[in-house]
Amino acid sequence: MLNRLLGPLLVGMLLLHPHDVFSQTPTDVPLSALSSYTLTYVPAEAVAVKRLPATVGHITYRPGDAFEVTLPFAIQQFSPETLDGQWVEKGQTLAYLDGREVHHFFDEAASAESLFLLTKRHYERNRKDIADQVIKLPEWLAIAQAYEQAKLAYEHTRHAREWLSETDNGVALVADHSGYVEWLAGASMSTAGQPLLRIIPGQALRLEVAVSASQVPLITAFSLPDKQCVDPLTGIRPAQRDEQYWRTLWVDLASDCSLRPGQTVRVEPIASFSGWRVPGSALMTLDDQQWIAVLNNQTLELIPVDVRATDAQGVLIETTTPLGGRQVLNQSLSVVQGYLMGMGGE
Amino acid sequence: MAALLRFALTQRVFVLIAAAVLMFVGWRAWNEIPIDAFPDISPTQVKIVIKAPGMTTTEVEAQITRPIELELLGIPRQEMLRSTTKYAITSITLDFEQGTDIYWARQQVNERLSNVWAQLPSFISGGVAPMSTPLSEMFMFTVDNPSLTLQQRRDLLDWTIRPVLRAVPGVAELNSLGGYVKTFEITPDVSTLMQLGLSQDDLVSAINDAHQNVGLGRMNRGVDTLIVRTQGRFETLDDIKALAVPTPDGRSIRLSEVATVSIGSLTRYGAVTKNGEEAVQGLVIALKGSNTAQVVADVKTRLADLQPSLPEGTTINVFYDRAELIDTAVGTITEALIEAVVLVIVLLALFLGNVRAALTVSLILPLAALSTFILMHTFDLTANLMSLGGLVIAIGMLVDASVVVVENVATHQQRKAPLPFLHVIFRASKEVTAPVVAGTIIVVVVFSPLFTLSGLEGKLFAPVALTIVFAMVSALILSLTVTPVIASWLMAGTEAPMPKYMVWLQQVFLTSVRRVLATPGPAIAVALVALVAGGYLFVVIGKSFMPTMDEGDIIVQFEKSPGINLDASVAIDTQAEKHLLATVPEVLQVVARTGSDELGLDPMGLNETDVFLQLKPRDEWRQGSKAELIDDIRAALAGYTGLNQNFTQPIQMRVSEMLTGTSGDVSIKVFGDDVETLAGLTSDIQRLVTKVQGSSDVQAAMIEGGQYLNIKPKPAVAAQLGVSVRSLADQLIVQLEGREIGQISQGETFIPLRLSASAVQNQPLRLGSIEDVRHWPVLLPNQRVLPLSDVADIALQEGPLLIEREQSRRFAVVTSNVTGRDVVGFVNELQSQIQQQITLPNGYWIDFGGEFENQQRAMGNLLLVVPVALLLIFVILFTTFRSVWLSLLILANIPFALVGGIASLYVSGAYLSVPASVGFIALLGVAVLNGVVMVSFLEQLRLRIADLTERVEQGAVRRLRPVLMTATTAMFGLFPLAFATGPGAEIQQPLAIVVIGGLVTSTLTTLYLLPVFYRLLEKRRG
Repeated sequence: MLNRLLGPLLVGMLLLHPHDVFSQTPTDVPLSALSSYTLTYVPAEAVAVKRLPATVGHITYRPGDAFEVTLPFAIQQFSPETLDGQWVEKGQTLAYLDGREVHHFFDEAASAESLFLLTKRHYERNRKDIADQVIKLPEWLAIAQAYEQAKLAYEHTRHAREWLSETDNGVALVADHSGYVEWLAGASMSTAGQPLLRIIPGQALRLEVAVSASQVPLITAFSLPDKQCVDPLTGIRPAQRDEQYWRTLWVDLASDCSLRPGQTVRVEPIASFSGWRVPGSALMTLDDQQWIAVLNNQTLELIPVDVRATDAQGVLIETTTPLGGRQVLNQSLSVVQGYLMGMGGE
Repeated sequence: MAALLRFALTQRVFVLIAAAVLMFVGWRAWNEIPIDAFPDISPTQVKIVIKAPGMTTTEVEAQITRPIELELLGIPRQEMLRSTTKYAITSITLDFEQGTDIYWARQQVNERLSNVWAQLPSFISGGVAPMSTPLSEMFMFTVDNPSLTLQQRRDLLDWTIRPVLRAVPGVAELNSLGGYVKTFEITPDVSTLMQLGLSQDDLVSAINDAHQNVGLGRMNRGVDTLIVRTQGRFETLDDIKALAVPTPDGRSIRLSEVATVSIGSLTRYGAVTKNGEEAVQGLVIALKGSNTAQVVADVKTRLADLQPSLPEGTTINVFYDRAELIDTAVGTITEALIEAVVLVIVLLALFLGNVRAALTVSLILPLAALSTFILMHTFDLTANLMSLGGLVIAIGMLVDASVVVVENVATHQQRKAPLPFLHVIFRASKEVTAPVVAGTIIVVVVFSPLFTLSGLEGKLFAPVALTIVFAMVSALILSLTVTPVIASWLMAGTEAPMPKYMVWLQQVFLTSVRRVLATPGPAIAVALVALVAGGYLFVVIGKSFMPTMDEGDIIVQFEKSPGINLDASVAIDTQAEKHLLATVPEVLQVVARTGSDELGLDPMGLNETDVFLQLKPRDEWRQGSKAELIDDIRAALAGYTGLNQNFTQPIQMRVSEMLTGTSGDVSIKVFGDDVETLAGLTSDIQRLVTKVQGSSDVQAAMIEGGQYLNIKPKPAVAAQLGVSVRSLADQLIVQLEGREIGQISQGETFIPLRLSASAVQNQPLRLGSIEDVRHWPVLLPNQRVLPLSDVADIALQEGPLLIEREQSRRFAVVTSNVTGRDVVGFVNELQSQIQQQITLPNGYWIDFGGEFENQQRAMGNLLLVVPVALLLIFVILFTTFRSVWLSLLILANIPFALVGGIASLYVSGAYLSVPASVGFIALLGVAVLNGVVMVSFLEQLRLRIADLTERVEQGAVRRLRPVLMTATTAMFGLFPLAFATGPGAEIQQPLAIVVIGGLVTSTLTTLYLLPVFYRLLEKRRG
């Protein structure tokens, strides 16, 4: 009986001043007024993050972390065994090299080693002599200088030799560290001393994303939806360069994402969010305000909400009313809307 | 006329052969006459439907509706220009004067539309709608097959069934509704495009470049020729996926790498549900002027032919078949016609006491009916409820001329003059020729006012009048040709004395009429009291336009909250449908249509649903009447709060919309400019209407409540980044409405190829909230992205949902049905309430429309024309009797006839409607004829009987039989109609009730008061 009275009363009020009614207070709806309809409810799901539309990020590395390979000789023939961006293990052949200076280098290295061993023996022998003051200091200085020069020359060639190996197929350029190969574009093989490649250790990889300046305060992380990386990205740091509308963010990468430097990837910025997820069918608009209807004993309590995003599972909302454990109407909400607008009443 | 009689009697065999030929031709005509439930009641109407995807109501009004209206206003012969503008669609209707050629009208509209088309937005589509009428929706069905998806069923309807049915002669269009229209969808991935430096336009350009076959010409191959062409048109999804899109770095990439290519569907503006499940519906629209019964029959035949080729398990579930209504309505009338004929024959036999004489008279009935069919066929009159009803009304009058001839022949026979029988017949027939012709002319004149009716009433009752005129003229000619010939064979040597009961009746009448003549005061007093009472009843009796015809089926119209989306709207419908099926067993099936149809002929909003209830046969009902069933359905739906409900019927709904642009018995139109003010006024009026007794289904059109999200580029940012409104729109439309970029032909089908996000609605990019729109990534010309809110201001704006216009002025409408009381009384009370309680701002005014508008127009017409008809009758009477007083004496019978008609309406509970008014018109004719029969005989006796009182007594007694015969044949001829219960009988019932009641009083006054006044008149004349 009460419901029968309430309905027309409400309708009358709405017919007189519908906007005033809505803009002042939300109105509860008795369940009995909707008795013919199927009403189903879902619990509001607490949500801590929301995803922004996907954008593009670039995989790069922290400057200085890469090993750069520079060969002290000119190369005439170059047969790469690895691709740009490929992961290589230490000792893996990167390329085969050929050329006069390649072979000369091995001679030079052998010569440097012989010279180093010779000067070393000479140096070792004379160390006692100088201690016993058998030889004069100027003579000792000449011996030591020759030794140090031979040693330095030898070390130079030895380091270069560590990248090189003579095999049946020729001279191999071998990885000295594990990491991603970055063949340096534009490197001149015919000139000695030019950087040829870099080996980028896995830990050095970073994700670089240029985002709108307006979104920077919102973003707390990035997700790589195509890589199935579950929350792999942390540690957002602003990059050095700023542009008028964009800011570049650097993000540490987890190692299990199988990303390669230079790669362009689809990323979803993730923003922190403190709200709830409800189905789209649980949301209605009345008088410029969006509402959900929450079961409260034998009535539907209307709660104003602000919609913040939509995802595949529903709508993300914020409200000042705690929704934990509350049942939200997700079917026949339009009739609640019509009821509040005074429809169906005569 | 004497020559005609002489010819007939001298060429009797020829006349018989001619009669036989007439019967044969008449029978053929009957079989060839187009049959429909109603006459074509539509005015010459041309409708324009324009679709403007994405445009708001005010934009559509300003940029499309108003320019077109302005152009159309100049077209000559137009009567009404109406428009309904909604989101993305406008429907403009132009009514022309009655009699305007529809092809001329359509040409005029087309020319004007072409003139203005260049000024309209470039992306709109549509034009002049198919040449149909509101009665054109004649056959509806759903395509059922549980093993097919909605999209497959829609394909089946669009590409298998539709082409077949469109080829049926008389079919204007097959409107496909519901389901999903299959599309090939290309959904670009913005981030991938960005990676590759591509834009959306690059994709479109690559697709358009590839998706074409080009004929190159011919080349000679030896002595033969070979046609050369390039082939690139896509045929399958894989063809599209494999398209190589060139990238700026000179390489190319497969389309499938930069976009999702999938099967999708067009954006839906409406849906169909059947018994709580989504369905696909076909709606056959007939051409204006087509033979509905024939078209329906042809459609059924084609569907039956098509059935074997449909996928296994497919059924065509017909839920509306106009042929059923036609059969039922025409059946009702035909039944009444046959019963009337039988009753009239029995009456004739009883009155004449001579079976042969009765048979002679009765033969006139089938012959007159068949002649009428020939004339109907000749003048392109369809056989329908109204035209056949006219024939039933005429049945009683058809025999009048023949009765007079036969009765006079019988009288001459009894005199036993020494003349050959043919001479007797000739003399007897010739004697009555003048009154018979005059009587027929009087009837024709009496019904002439019906030809002046305009609007719906004119369309409905002109066929009635025309049929009566055809029948009466046929009967007149036949009674002066065939009747004497038949009489010469059937009545020869059969002089039958007057039946004993007739003699007894004459004695009783003589006693009573003597008493009245001796002391006329009480009789005159009674008559005067009856007149006063009749006048009072006329004032208090309910008045309405037209009784509602029971069409068999019911439509419940739902109106939900204005901003509802299609899914939510359909979800409510399905709940109500299942509930109705479960609680009202009389409902056989429920088919509901939500939103707009494909053609846009009925641009309903997503919040509007027409729920079509197909009912079981009446013998399976628990209720005694349709009204009780509707009450039960109302009760079943009472719990469905939060939505407006309105009850109507298929034809009733369309006719109301056609005539007034609204549905409902009464529409209160508030004219003015400001939408908000109009909304406030209609809300106030709605509140008032609900308080007036008799109001039901009160609805105020939802003109306010539309919300629009405006996206306006920030000028400085947009200029710096090269973002235009166009480029924004091109990108966003893909996310929302989709953009058609071509078509793919697969066999007989054409599938739209679109850039659209509909195929990936579940992906996070989906725009489901304003926040989503704010963050939506705009791909800039420099191949970078920014959120939309960075480059454009985004704001919600309120606007009208609906703008209705009449004669280029905005209006809002409140509609109400009226139950349990008359419409005119309802409107009078409402008008008074509105005057007292509503204050209209300057520039605002109210018009009452709907049934009330029709009623007022019809009554206005009749009040103007009926006096003219009476004047004409007076002229005829004066020509016949050469006496003003005698003519006035006969006309004096009319008020008493009207008293009986009004009393019978009051007693039966019927309202004074247009059919009742037509009944009064018919009554005029019969009443005058009775008077003519009596007065002409009294005048004939002037030379035979000198004493005035004796002359009056003898004359009255001797005219008892003809007067009773004329009256009772007319009355009993209408009895079947008055008591008919089938669909279609409702419209003619008030007419029959009025004539029957009126004939009772007019016969009494003819038999008793007319002699009294005649004697008084004669005494005064000396």
